[in-house]
Amino acid sequence: MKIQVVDLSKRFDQNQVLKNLNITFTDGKVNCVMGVSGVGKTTLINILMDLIKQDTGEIHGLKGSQIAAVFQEDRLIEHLDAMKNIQLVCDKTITEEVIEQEFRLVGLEEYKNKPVRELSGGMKRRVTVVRAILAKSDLIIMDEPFKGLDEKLKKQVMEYVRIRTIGKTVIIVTHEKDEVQALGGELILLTQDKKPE
Amino acid sequence: MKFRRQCKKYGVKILVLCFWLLLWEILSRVVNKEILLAPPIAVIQTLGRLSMSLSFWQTILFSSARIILGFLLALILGIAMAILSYRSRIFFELISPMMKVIKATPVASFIILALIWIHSKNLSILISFLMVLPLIFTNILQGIRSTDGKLLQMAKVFKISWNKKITAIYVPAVIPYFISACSVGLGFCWKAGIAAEVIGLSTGSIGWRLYEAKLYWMTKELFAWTIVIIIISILFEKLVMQLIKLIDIRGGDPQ
Amino acid sequence: MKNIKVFLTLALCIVMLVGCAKDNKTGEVQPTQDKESIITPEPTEEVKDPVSDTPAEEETVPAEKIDIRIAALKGPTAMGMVQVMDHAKKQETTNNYTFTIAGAADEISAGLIKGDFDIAAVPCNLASVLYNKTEGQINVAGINTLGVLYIVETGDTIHSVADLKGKTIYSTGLGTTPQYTLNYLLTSNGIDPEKDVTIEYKTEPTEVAAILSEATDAIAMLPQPYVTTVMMNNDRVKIALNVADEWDAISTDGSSVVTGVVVVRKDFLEANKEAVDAFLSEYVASASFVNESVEEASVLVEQFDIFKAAVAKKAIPLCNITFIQGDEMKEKMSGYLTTLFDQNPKAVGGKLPAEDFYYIP
Repeated sequence: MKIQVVDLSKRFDQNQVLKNLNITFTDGKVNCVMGVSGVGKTTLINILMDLIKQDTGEIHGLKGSQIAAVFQEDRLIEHLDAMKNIQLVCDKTITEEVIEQEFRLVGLEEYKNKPVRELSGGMKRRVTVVRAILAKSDLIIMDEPFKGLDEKLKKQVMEYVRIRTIGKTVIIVTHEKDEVQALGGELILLTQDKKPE
Repeated sequence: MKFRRQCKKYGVKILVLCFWLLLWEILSRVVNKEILLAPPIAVIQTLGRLSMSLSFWQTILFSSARIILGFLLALILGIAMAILSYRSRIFFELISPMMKVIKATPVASFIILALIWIHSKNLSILISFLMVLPLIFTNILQGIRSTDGKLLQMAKVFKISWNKKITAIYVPAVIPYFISACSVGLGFCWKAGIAAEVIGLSTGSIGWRLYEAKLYWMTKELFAWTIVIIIISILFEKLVMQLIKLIDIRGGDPQ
Repeated sequence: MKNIKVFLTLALCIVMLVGCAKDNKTGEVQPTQDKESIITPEPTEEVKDPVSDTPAEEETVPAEKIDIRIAALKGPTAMGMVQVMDHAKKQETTNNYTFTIAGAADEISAGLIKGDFDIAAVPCNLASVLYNKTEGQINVAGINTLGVLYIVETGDTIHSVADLKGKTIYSTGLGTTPQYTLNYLLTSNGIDPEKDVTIEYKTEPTEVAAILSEATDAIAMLPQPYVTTVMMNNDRVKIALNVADEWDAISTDGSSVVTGVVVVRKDFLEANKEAVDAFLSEYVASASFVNESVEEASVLVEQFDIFKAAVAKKAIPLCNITFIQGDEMKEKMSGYLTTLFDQNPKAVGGKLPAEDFYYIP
């Protein structure tokens, strides 16, 4: 089922953020959406996640889909520990051992039972990434998932994402060209006036 | 080390208590008429004597049960109304002015009006209910409204079930407001409930005992019963806060 | 080290508290104001006849009048002294009297205890309470009002106390003297107040009045002046029984229903016996006046803001206004107080007053 955005437009007050946007996302691959700040990337994915409604245009291929997301802000339950945050969105088949294993892959195994509010920014980010990976989904959307990670950690997490998303449809919003390469993704460039596919 | 620190903490508290008791004793000697200001030791003795009689405990039970019942009813109804107000604008607009009126009306007016309709025996249930209801309603509603919208969006995207949403997101947001409402409301409902009993002359209640003490110039009993009320109020508050603590820990647990 | 300091201070405080407390029982009553002790007549002769208007001592004619502060409750118990109040206004009394009409008994009680009032008209049981609670500092000098309670009805079924059996009686005064008075009356006539009658206590006389205006066969017990006001507003209400008379009928110990008494502070009395006796005799005259010249008295009653004259005119004859002193006072009161004591000792202050409660001039 190809995910397609057709003639999408959205305006906020005086600002026409999206204008007749047309994108076809590639199934089973990582789609990297790039563009300068303010060009409408977050608006686009908010519409895809059905958090806001577009003014005109259609979305195809998303009906009945379960989405997993990494948001720009972490959006974790602060007083719960990392483990419980994952369990909140996963079903029973994802056992504690499975989650532990994932944590190991991103270097979080020591912090799995710490309340999230005690974790650093980079640790929280990694939790949100694992959450999106482990949650049952047809589409994974990630909004700047590697923000706040240092070089070494970023490499580790990007590799984790690459491996874990093989065969899955992913839409990642990013600023960095090197991320696109590391993930082996398709580049989708959003610009101010020209909105190419 | 910890033991010493604890000792010091309680030691200080007891010292402070002794200071105030001493001040009370001095004042009562200055006034020098037991019937106007009863001295602390005499009051404590009276309290001891009273606590030997069955009717003392029956009276405490009478008042406590009713005031606590009023408080619980306000809790349940207040939370229900807050949730409904959150879901329905119309309901909120209808209910909101009523709550404001209840909050603004003086307790005495309620007491006098209520006595026309209900028996003085159950007056304190109604009055403590009315005192606490607007408080719970306003605070819980505020708490629900203060829930992080971003977390709710996350929950929507991940399609988290509604009961998990409530325990993991709504309840933790509401709890601080709930605690604040309860701690204020508890003090209120005790004071107002007892006042209702005094004005309404509810026989068998603590308020009645206060009235009787005033009527027959039983100053020691007056002070003794006042101390009883203060103690119960403090105990009750501590108990409720402990219970809330239990919910707090579990409130965060999604499973 | 700090711990020891805390502990020592603690111990010191507790010791002080306990040590201090022991002394309290012997605490002295505040001395009365200086003014009264300027003129202290020598008690060389005892005056037995209270009707005499002039002080017995001719040797120590007071150079100046002393001030006596008198308080009364706004109600039937204040009506008996209106002539004294009138004379006092015109400076025709033996001494200078200042009157305070209080809305509630608390004000008077507090005033007596603190020494703001010297003489007061108070409810009978309150006099006993004050005597007990001040350890004898309040004495009773006379009865000014006997019974003011009446059984009224809108039907025509009650002609004796026995007729009350099985009926519902509406009343005020739960936990206070009207309840005890009624209970005694019922039990003395073989009726169990718990089982043989239903007594519904309301908080306000107006509630009882409301019931009387609705039902055609309602029975109630009310005090004056409410009986009068209810009857003035509802002509179906009539007096069925006079509680005081019914009590006297079954009384075996010389007791009566005593509603109001006049009390005096003991130290004031000891310092100014002459003046107090003078006041009492003026009171006796006033009580007779009120009973004999109801019209004139009613005008005064309204003038001094006690009741409206129209109500007073009807109520005075039914209020048993009097002034009884001496042994008769003691007999009537002690019997009544005993009845109250039997039902609720707290109502008379925990125990029955001793001999020295009664001032017999």
